[in-house]
Amino acid sequence: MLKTSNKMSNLENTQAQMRRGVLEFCILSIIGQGEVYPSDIIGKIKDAKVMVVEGTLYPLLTRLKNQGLLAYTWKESSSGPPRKYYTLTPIGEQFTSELRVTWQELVDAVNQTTSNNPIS
Amino acid sequence: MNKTVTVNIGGMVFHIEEQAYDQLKKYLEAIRGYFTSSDGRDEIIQDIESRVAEMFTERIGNNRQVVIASDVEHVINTMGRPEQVAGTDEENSENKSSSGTAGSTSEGRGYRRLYRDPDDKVIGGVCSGISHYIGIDPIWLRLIFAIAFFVMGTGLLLYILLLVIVPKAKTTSEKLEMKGQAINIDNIKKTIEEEVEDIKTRISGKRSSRGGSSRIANFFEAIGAIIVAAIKFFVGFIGVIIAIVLIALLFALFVTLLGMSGVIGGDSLPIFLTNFFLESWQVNTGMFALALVIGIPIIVILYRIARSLFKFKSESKLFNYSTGILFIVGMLLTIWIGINISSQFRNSNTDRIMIPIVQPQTNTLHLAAMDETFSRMEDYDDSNFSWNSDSWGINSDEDSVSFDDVELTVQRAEGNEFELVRITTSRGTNRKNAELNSRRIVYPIQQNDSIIHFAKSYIIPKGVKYRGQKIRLILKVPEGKSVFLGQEMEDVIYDIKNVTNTWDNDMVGHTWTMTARGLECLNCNLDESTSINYNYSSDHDEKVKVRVNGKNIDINSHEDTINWDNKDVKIKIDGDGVVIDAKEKR
Repeated sequence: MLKTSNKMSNLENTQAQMRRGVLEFCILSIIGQGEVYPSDIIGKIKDAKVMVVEGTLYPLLTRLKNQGLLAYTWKESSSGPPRKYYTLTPIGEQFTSELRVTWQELVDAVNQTTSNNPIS
Repeated sequence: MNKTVTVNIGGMVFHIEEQAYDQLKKYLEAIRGYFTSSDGRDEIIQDIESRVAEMFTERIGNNRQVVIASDVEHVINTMGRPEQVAGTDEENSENKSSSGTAGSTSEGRGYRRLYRDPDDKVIGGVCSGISHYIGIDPIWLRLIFAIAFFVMGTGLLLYILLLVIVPKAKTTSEKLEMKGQAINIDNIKKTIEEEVEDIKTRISGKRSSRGGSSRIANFFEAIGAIIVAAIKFFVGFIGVIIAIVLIALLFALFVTLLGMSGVIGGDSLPIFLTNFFLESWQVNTGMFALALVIGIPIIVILYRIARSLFKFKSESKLFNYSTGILFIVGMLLTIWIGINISSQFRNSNTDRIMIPIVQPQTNTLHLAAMDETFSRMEDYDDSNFSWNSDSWGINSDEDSVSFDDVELTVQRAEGNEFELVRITTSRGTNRKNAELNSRRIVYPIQQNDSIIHFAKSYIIPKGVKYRGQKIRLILKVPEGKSVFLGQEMEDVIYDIKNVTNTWDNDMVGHTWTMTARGLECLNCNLDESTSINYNYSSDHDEKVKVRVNGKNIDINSHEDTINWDNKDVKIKIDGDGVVIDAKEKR
């Protein structure tokens, strides 16, 4: 009983870690495609199952902004109060492109290793 | 029917049911609790609120006016539980401390830990480690340490201390922690690390190429950074100083306790305590208890300082429990010892012994205090009181202790002879023990003809403990006979009742006669203010002045001997004493 629950939490933990690592890259990529506000990001990302709950997004955005990777401007909206629209800073762009390279390498590496050593 | 409240969420007005409002408020507070202000807490909450407002607008649409509990529940389900919202950051720090596998590229200051940097070291990598921690160039720290080395070697001491306390960054994850960097997945740890370095150099390259104004800005930025770093370092430095002081205290306590308990020799603890007050097991247990009660808090404070300074791994339960238990044990032991000691004073016993004295030839008995040399003879006889014996005294200071808690008082004798009563009291665990304690104290009294010498203090020999022993002496003087209180008797006598209410100190040096009214001084020149009503003075001789009033006869002379013979009054004063004879006219 205890073992299975351990296994479960381990699995969840690993999955969460994987998602989290990728989430940052995904968000940076989405913002890189053009000015967006948080709900846009949520709309785009929701189906991808990368993010389990929406709440995770906001601390992440704030952190990336504090790191100088993101910037935002307030823009009027037709249906309510002004919204925060995020864009990538030059550093953010640099960072995202570096991550893209790393991601590609990672995908290749994972494909290669998993196909060479099939785990049933 | 439910009450509603009106709230402003993210700049929009909502009517929300009270119950739902409470729920939402709790939820937002819970999220808030997971972040610190340096995480950008207010901004995060603001963003979340904006999103909540959006969701509410969507849900209520045009049909409803009020936000209800199910709406809030929906929001919470979409947003995730507070721990999930905070999850990214929270779990990062946890995972890092355990495995160092998770996390995102982050420069979050909170994640940094102090390590020694083995890759960039001059001696032990202390300076470079600190420089990683506070984010300044190690060269400044090395300079500071080098300068501090010449300030009484504090730099050296501090360096050694840090060398001992601060762990070396051995694994890759520790090195990353040291630099305040964290990486997502194990495999790309190294890569990302290099990337970050790469980006950093490029950023700085870009900045410096921007031109004059930003160069100046950079300059001020750097100055600001240095000031901030200096303040941080200073605060840390104070902590380290406190730590050093505490360590010194701890060391001192340790050495003192060792010294007191005789492990490393010397006699720092008063011999009185060890030899004449406490049992040896009480001393040892007491020392142990004291060490715990004082030492444990010092250790705990030290540990706390070290932890807050260097952001050690999370709190150790074992440490907390063991120090807590040891402290409580120390307290209990101290209380127990206290009770144990006080129990040895529980019962008291009083012994009353009549000391035989030889009646003096004259009517006057001289009392004198033994001088120091007199009462410090080589041998002493334990319990037998012996006349004319010179064999009283103290063996040596280490083997006995003396107390000057001696009280001699003078009373009227019922018979015709001088009597001397010695009353010893003592305390003990029980009556018998108290009796034993009082019997074994030594108090020398010695008579030479008409002079009785009293010791100023009584002696507790080795093997006997001080249990509040006290000596009271009562000298009973028959009516018509006198006592002369010799010099230094003020150390022996205590509150002798007399007719003129003279203080003890003023009684010394005079002869006191037991009259029908009580003890009276017949040769004193006491308190002239009381002798005004009738004053008879006679300048019979130029050298001698005599004044007689209702209470006193006052004689002043410039010579050693006064001899005045008259029809009515006869006065003779010389080395032997005073003779005053005032006859009534027939």
